Amino acid sequence: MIQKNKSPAPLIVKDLKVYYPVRRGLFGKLQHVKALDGVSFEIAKGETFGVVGESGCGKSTLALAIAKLVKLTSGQIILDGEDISHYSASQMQPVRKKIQMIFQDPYASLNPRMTVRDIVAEPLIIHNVCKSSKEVDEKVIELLRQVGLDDYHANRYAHQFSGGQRQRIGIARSLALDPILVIADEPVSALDVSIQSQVLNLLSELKKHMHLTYLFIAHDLSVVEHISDRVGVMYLGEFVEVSDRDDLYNRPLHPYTQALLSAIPSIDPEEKKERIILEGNIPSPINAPSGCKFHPRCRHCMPICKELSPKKSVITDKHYVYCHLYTEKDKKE
Amino acid sequence: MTDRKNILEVKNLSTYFFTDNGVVRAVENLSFKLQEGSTLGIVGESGSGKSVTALSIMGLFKGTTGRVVEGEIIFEGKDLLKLSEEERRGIRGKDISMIFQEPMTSLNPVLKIGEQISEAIIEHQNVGKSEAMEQVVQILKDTGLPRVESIVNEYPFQLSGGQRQRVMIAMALVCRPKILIADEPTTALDVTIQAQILDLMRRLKERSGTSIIFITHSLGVVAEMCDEVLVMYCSRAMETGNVKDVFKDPLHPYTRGLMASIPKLGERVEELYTIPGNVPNPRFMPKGCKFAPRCSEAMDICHEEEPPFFDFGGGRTSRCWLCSNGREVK
Ligand SMILES: Nc1ncnc2c1ncn2[C@@H]1O[C@H](COP(=O)(O)OP(=O)(O)OP(=O)(O)O)[C@@H](O)[C@H]1O
Ligand SMILES: Nc1ncnc2c1ncn2[C@@H]1O[C@H](COP(=O)(O)OP(=O)(O)OP(=O)(O)O)[C@@H](O)[C@H]1O
Ligand SMILES: [Mg+2]
Ligand SMILES: [Mg+2]
Repeated sequence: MIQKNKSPAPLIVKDLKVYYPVRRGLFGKLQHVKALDGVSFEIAKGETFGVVGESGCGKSTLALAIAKLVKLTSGQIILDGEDISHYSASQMQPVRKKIQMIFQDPYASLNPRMTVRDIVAEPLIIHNVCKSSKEVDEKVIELLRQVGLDDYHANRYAHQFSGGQRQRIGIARSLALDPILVIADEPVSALDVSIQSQVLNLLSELKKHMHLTYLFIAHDLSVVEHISDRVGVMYLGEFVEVSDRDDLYNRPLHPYTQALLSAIPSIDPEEKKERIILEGNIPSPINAPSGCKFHPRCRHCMPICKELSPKKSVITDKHYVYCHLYTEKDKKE
Repeated sequence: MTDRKNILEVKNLSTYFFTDNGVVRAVENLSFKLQEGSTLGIVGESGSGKSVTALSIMGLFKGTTGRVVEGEIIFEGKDLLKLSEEERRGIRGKDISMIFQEPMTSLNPVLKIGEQISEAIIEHQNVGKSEAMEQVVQILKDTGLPRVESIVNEYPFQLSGGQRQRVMIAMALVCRPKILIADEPTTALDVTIQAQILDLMRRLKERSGTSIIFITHSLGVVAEMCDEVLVMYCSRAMETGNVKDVFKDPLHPYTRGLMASIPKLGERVEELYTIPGNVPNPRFMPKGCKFAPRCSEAMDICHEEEPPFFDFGGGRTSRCWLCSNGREVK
């Protein structure tokens, strides 16, 4: 699926940085939260790229940056062959419909005073894609059916639906404009397990039928394993390991990835897993540790890790990691 | 069941909200026991009444239309529902304390962390400010928070989600309660911070013998933390029992549906199992078993008559006609 063909990758991100300015106190020194500190990756057409990482590591910022909803500090975003990194808000207008977002909280992200029809029709009307209001209606019904809702749901208000149904409405809306890239930021975290499986199945099905490309952010690693073709593990604004799904879950290389995978609770009460408990907290993104940013919490920390940030070690053509455990070898040679 | 004594016993509890649009029967005829020193997990569909059960035990309905309409909540031999508000306040925070679902809304944004926690100590123990603050620092250190000396002087917004959650836990534990009710304490957190917090709760349980009620969506967390489990659906208990038994051999089709719905690590399936249909509209509750319309094993009787509990001993019960070989309880 990741073969390189003629048509450009839906998304290429190169050395992306987003620093949020913060000031401590009224006259305090201006500092920067380095929410994204040099992130590069691409997503191939029809692929689901999963992103995992600790709370506060920059996952939502990545989603917002790609949709140009936060100011980029530096780096490049190439969407469907078009470099949008320096686009102004008005230049973004025609591009905007190519990127759609699905958010975490289905309760907060839909206007309770709008009918389902209005919610789903809104993007169609804003972007002027239908010729008549009859065409809008038809398209809305088609979209609702695609996400497993019925015609008669169209005239109801969002607050009359359950969490899973609301998330479906949000998904119908995000598909209205045939997006090139769908960014889902924790789309199932707020849902209970039975609704979660409905929404995950829907996303997989839509991907198959509509050849969608997803950037899928979540903190549940079993969910990410289920849905993704490839997975990137983030730590403090950087990717520390990127791999195709199977290799990442079978053979995690970065000590942080290993800790993450060991921390997943198992539903088998008899299974006693050996758990790697990470000591200490995620360090401040304002004053990130020197060298490898993970070194203060790493079980394998070596002297070099405190000084030098690790370079990319390519393990296979689909699996790479930033860790001195895997660069040591090169250095000795 | 072992001979451990029950520290809490909920009997036939019903809690309703009397809203402008009618009565919401949030908890209906619910019974369960919490043994001293053990952990009970409560799982179930969103809106099934888990949080309202917790609020009923705490007696926290001020500002809502909610009220316990029936039942008993026996704590150390006393029915909490018969106590005055004054007496319940004395128990709340001291003997029984709670970690709420949303840490953001339950911390006071304009109070420094140290002040929030020491307030609780001063209210329930006969100690002065500086002694209270010493206790605060100690309990925060116990939760594994870094730079505690500076955090006590910070405001909630200056902390990350995981740090805030640990402050909540510290606040709930500072008076060494006999019962801790934790409502989704780790749902908003990622797995590594979740693991830290579960570890902390386990240590506290070992050290002070606290009994815990743990409400969560995560069956993995239940498997790991709990001794007993209560499965709720549509305001009712559907199945109870020892976690090992229930997870190995779930008796109720709803429990089986829940277990089948979660993606399992290392298991690559095209499509996840989903329980067919949706939760019934509260206004059109099915006459018989509330789960029957979604149940693939439903029989005629299931649509006609709500099943009672069938008891299999050792705390194992199931509200399902398929289990009618068990001893019937009202
Ligand atoms: N508007 C802002 N101003 C200043 N700092 C911010 C802002 N938004 C986010 N941050 C900081 O940037 C970092 C990354 O935040 P982000 O929301 O991207 O994390 P995340 O990985 O999505 O976390 P979570 O899993 O908790 O959602 C955090 O340290 C956060 O505190
Ligand atoms: N203040 C209130 N007024 C009216 N109805 C309420 C109120 N609080 C809760 N309810 C209703 O009571 C029922 C049970 O809610 P509860 O919060 O206990 O669910 P829950 O099992 O905790 O769900 P979740 O997993 O989503 O937290 C729901 O139908 C809810 O809408
Ligand atoms: Mg986020
Ligand atoms: Mg709740």
